[in-house]
Amino acid sequence: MKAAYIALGALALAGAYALQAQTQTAPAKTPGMMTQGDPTLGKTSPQLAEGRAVYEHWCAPCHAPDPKLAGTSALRVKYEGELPAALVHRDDMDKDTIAYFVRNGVAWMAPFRKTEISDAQLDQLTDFLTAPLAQRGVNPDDVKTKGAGK
Amino acid sequence: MRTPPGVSAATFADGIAEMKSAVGEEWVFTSDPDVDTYRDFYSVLWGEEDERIASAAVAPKNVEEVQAVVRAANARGIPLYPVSTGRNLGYGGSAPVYSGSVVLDLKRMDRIIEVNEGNASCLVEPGVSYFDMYRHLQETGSKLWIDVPDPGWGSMVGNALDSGGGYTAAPYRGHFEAQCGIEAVMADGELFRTGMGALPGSETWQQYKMGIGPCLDGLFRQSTLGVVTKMGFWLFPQPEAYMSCSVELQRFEDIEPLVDLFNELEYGNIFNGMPSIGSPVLASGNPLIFAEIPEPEEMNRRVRETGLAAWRGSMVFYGPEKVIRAQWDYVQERFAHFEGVKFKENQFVKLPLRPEDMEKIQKNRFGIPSMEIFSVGSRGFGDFNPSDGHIWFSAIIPRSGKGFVKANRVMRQACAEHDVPLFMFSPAVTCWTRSFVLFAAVPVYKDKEKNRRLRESVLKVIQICAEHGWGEYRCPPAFQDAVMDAYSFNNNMLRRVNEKIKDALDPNGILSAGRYGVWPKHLRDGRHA
Repeated sequence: MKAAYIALGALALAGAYALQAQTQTAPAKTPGMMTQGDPTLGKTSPQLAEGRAVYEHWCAPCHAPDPKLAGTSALRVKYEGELPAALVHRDDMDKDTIAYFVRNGVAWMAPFRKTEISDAQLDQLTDFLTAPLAQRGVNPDDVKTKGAGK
Repeated sequence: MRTPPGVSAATFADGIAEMKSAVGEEWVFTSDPDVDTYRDFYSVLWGEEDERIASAAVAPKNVEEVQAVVRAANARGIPLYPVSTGRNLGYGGSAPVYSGSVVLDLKRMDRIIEVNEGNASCLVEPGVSYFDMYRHLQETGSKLWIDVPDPGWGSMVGNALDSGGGYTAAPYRGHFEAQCGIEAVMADGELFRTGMGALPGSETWQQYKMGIGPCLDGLFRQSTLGVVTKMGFWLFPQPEAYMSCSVELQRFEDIEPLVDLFNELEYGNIFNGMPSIGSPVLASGNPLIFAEIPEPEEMNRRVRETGLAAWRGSMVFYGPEKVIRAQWDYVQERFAHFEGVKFKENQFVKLPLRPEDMEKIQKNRFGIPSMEIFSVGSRGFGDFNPSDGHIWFSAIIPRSGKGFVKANRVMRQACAEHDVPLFMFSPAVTCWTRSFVLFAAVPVYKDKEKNRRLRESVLKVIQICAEHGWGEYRCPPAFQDAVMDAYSFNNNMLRRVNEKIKDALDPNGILSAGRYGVWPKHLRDGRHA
C-alpha cells in the first residue's frame, strides 16, 4: 500500500482570494520571493492550468521538489528512493487516492475542507497530478535530482 | 445529520434551512464526510465519546450572511463555533469546544479591505491567511511587512484572537497587541465596532485603538462573545537592514545579569528584534529541546572541560545599517565586563531581500510565511518517530534568570515524572517582551490509551505550574477548563466576571460555548459547584 500514502507533514495554505490572484493576475513583482508555488515547473499544458494553480497554492508549500519541505522530506524517508519524494514527480497515483488524502489527511497533514479546496478544484488538482509529467511541466531531469529518492 | 444537544431535530432542521437560505445550500455542510473535515486532527480525544465534534458547518461569504446565520441560531438556541481559517492546530484546530456546535467557517470571507502604506496598517477579513497577505504585499510592491507565526496558512484575525505570536520587531510580535480595530457580529446579530470604528466617518480606525470609554477589544480575545468579521493591524515598515548577533557568557551565575541586561536593552530600544537565550554547553542532539539545567558547579565544570559557553544570548536589530551597528557596539560595551565574554555577528542582511537571500535566512524573522515548521514533525531533527500531530503547552513564566532556570528544571522534571514526551521544549520564548513563554510541544497519536494517559499527565503539569504561579496563556480545548480554574484569585473571580459578561451579551449562550473555560448559564450549572 505504499503507493496509497501521499504525505506526512502538511499540505498547506490559504484561501480563495489568493487562489484567484494566482490564476488571474500577474506574478509577484519580485519573483523568487514566494513560499507558495513550485519554481521547478516549466510550461504546463493549458488544460491543466487551474489544477496546477491549486497544487501550487495548497500542496507545494510542503510537497514541492525541495528536500527541506515537510511533506517532501517525510516521503523521502518513507519511500527510501523507491518512489519520488516530491508529489509532482509521481506518476503512480490515481485521482481517488489523491482525493482521499486531501479530504482525510494523514499524520500531521490535516484534511482540507471544501471552503479551502472545492470539489471542482479537487478535480482539477487530481487531473494535474495524474497527467503525464511533461504536460504538468516537470523537467525529467528534476525527477532524479530534486527532492527525489535517496 | 448530527443534532446539537438540547435542540430538537425539527428545530435544528429549521435552523439549518434558514442558514441555507442565507448563505446558499452549497455552503452548509451536514454530511458526515464534510463535517469530519472540521474535526481537530490533533485531538487528544480522537475517536472517543468525549471528542469535540461539530453537528454541521456553515460558511458565510460576508457580514450580512454572518448576521443572518447568527440570528437563525440565536432564535433557536443553536450553538455556533466561529473559526477563521480553522488551522489552529495544536490548540484545537477547527473543532468546537462544545460538541454539537455548528462550526461557523469564515474562510470564504477573505477580502483584504485595505492596506495603508502611509499609516503602515491594514484591515482584513478573518479568511485572509498570512500567505494571502504576503502575496498581496508582494504583488502590489508594498514596503510593509507582516509578522508571521510558524505556519503561514493561518488566519491573521484568528491567530491574533487566539493570542498568537511571531518573530519580527517588538511592536508586531504579539498579534493581538498589534491589532487596531475590530468589527464583530454579536450574539443577537447586531454589528459592533471597537475604537474609532464606532465613530461614523472616522478615518482613524486603524490609527488609534481606544476610542472613548472602556477599551472593549479584549472582549474578543479567546472569547465567547462575538464573531469577528474585520480586524485592523499595524504593519512593520520594511527596515533598511537586519542583523543578528550574540553574546556568549561562561558561568552559570551569568544567567541573571544576562536576562536583566537583555531586558534593559530591549525595553530601552537598543535592540528591537526578538531575543533568545540558549546554552551551547547543554546543547544536545536535538536543537529543539532545551536540556535540563544542572546545578551551578556541574554546569561550570562542563564549561571548563568543553570550552563551550554556558549561555548564549542572541538578539536581532532592524534598522539603518549605521544605526544598528552603533547599537551593537553599545551592547558589546555593556557586556564587556563579563569574564570571558565572546561576541559574534551571526548574520547581516541588507533589505529588501533578494531571491538569493531566501535560502540563507530564517523566513519568519523577515515576515515571510511558510510551512517549514512542519518539517519538525517529519523527522526534521533527531530520531523522532512521526506522530499524528502535537499539542502545545504554553506557560507564562517570569522574565528573569531565576525564573528561567526554575521553570526549566520544574518542567523538565514534571514531564519526566509524568511521562510527557517532548519534541520541542524552550523555556524562554520572547514573542512578548515583558515575560518569557515556556513552550513545550507534545506529540499526539490517534491512540486512545496513550491519549488517556497524556490527558492525565498534562492536567498534573498544569497543576504543578499553577503551584509555582505559572499559568498557560493558550491551550487545547481538552485543557481549557483546567487552565481557567488555575486562575483562581478570589474564588475564580476571573471566570465569574467572564460569566457575567457572557450572560449579558449572549443570554442564550449560543457563541463558542466553553471556549477557554467560559460556559453559558445553561451549561454551567453544576460544572463548578
